[in-house]
Amino acid sequence: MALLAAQGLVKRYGAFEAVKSISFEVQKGSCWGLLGPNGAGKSTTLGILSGTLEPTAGALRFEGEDWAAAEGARRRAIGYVPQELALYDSLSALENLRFWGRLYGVRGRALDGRIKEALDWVGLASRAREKVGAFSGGMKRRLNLAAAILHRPRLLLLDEPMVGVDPQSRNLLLEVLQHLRQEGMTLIYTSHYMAEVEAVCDRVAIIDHGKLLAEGGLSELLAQSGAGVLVQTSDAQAALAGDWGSLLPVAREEGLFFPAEQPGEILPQVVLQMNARGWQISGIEVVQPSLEAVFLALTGTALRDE
Amino acid sequence: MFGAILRKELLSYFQDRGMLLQLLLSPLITISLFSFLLANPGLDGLRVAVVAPEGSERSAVVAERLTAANLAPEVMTEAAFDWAITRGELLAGVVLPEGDEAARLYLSPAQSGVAKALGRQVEAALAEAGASPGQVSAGSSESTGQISATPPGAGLPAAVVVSHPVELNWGTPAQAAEPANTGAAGYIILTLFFIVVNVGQVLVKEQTAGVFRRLQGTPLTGWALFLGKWLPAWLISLLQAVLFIGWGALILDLDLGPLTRLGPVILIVTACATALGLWVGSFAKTEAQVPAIGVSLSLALAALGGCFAPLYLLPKWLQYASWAIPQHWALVAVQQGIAATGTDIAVVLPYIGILTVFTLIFALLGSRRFGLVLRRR
Repeated sequence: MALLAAQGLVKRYGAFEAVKSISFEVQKGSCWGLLGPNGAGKSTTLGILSGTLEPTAGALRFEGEDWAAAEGARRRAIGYVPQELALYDSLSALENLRFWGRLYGVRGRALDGRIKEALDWVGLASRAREKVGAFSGGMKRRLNLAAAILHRPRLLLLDEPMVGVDPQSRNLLLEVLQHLRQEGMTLIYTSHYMAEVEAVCDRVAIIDHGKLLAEGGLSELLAQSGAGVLVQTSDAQAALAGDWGSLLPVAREEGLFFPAEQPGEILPQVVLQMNARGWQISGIEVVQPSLEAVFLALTGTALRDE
Repeated sequence: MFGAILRKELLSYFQDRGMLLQLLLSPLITISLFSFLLANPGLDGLRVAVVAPEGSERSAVVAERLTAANLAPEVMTEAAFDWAITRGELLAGVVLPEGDEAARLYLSPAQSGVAKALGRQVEAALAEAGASPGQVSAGSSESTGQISATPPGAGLPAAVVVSHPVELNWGTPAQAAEPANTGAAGYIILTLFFIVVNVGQVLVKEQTAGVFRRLQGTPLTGWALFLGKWLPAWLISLLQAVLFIGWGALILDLDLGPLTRLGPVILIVTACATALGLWVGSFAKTEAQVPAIGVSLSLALAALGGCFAPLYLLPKWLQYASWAIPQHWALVAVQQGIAATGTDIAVVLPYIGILTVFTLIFALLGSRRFGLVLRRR
């Protein structure tokens, strides 16, 4: 059963439609990545899922229950890492975590235990009593995540959680997210950084101008990425003739292109076949599968200021 | 949840030393700077102009009588008096026209409270000097409750003849408050309601940070958020009041009435001020808006409530409007608490009741507003 199911979700602000009838399902224990350029509707969608925004139209179900009917239980079952740092600078890391934990009804020893565990995970155990205002950006990002998992949410919403973090903190955060997934937590992850989504998510949706442009498993989307082997030869159109078996080449201006999800695997076969047919290879390029290529193909290359 | 907010708010207040210092010390600094306004100076040695043509015999007699009444008369010309009273250097002047015309007493409108008491003394002095006391309105006329701006003599500024406290004021103390203590009441209320600004700043700071976004996703309700923020703000406001009033009573020797009467009044006034602050503060969108909204609102409501000047100086429709302003009832409650004799709390109970209604209304509006802000649509 899907943990979360959205059907025809719409969010309008006056005449402006920020989210245009999107539908999707997020399975228990999975990580669903929501990719999109700035202003695509990612944060609005996440705002609806976190309960801070009310959808204008559409139906949502959480664990099979009607969205509105399950409001109290749903809010306690969802953790939210907003894009902005959601921490009180004047309080210590410990005080911040105590506050957010108590807000979800975690108390006493259970809270102390979870705080200790979360601080260990994000590498801040030794800085627990320091004021957050003195933390670096990376440390705050790590604490920002820790604050959202104290109540062991069944669904964790992450809205661009790694904005402005250093590579070390990013790696640590990715490790924590992998760990949470292993524990069975379901994640919804928005970002416009492909590498983060590829590292954590198994299903990905691409959203732009409020519409879901593509949604599927990571490998399915990568298959659309234009990966393959590009062989430069004197006459690509002529070289296309004949039976290439499973290779299925296409002639391009720059040469003969052999699409493949894993281009490295077909590379020897391509070279052999070209030689066997007597075509001289003047150059060869392995085009690796990339979510970025899919993303750019679907959303275009025009700059987005918002 | 409510407990979590409560603890966090208290921690935030007490760990942000800058804000705490500002909250607790600013009233003390201000009261220390302006204590002369609040302390009861008495009338002894007060400068009173005796305005008369040079060489006037009557002026010498009047000055002598005023000196006997422990005032400090200064004989001066109309032009000198005009200059002095316009600049606020003098409170009052006895104008002795030539011939047998009646003497007139001009009082500074800004100081009408003190002037009323002064008027009694001057009137007595003039009567002894045979200067037509019947013509002296100040303090003696049981008139109309009206304020009349008596046209001054040539070159004299407009003067107010103070007669009687405003007729529609439900809260007119049964026993007239000492003028200096009335001023203290106004200042106390003005200061206590200024917490609107601080409360608003704390709110906006939170709303513009990511924490509010996360708060919106929690199971928190508008009521829990409101109460969690209100009670700590109330506590801070009470601390302000204790420091402020304690300082006034112990250091400046202000007579603010018995604690059994002042205590409950201050308790409800601070509750009302902080509830109002939270409700109003929730409308500000940026930190810059808070002082703009908070200060103007505090000053406007304090003025309309009678904290700066007696209500009878206001147009009648504004006097009626003051009934809808909590500062007015807070002022009356404190004045009553100061003025009444004994330790009976009954005299302030009606005002505590009215302020409780205001407080509940603000709390209801505030919690609804917080609920809306938490669950944006």
